[in-house]
Amino acid sequence: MTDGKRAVRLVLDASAVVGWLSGSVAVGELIAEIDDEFGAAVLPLNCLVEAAHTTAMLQQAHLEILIGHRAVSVLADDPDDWLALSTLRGIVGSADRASAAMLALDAGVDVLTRDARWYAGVAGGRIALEFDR
Amino acid sequence: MEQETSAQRSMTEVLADLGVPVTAEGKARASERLRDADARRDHAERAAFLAEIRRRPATAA
Repeated sequence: MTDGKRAVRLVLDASAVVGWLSGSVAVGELIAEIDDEFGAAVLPLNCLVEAAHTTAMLQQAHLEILIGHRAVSVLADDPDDWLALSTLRGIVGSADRASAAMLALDAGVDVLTRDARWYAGVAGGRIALEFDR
Repeated sequence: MEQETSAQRSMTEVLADLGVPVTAEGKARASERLRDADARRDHAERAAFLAEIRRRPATAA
């Protein structure tokens, strides 16, 4: 959990969290660099839930390390955004990716994801940063 | 002596403990990716998109 003074640099979607759990070096490098720069990576609550579900909670201890770290902040959706989130859900195909897209749009940063095509319909398709290893 | 928790340690150290090697070169590469993403970001386009989805009905997606 961040100390609140860090600038948001990236939003992690569920695939990025699964990447982190799987030992993705690219995901690790990005979060480590953000930490070194005194920045923060935001993890939407819906993406945390989806990643935990995807991994069948087999890596709960690792998930707790991630969400407890000073460079990571878990955020829930703003209830006032329900209509926009519903629209985004139709564009990106799932509620967790809608939350990631909304937080990225709100914070003015990109979504770290395994597949940028999921976000191709959002703001000209330029909100995703794809990792491949 | 007080022991540092994983929340207080650098992400690089935490990842090393988990067996994920993060090098200075790797972080330089990550830094470059973040800067490139900052440079190509179109804030006006994003603001317009956000305004649009905040006013249109979900069925219009």
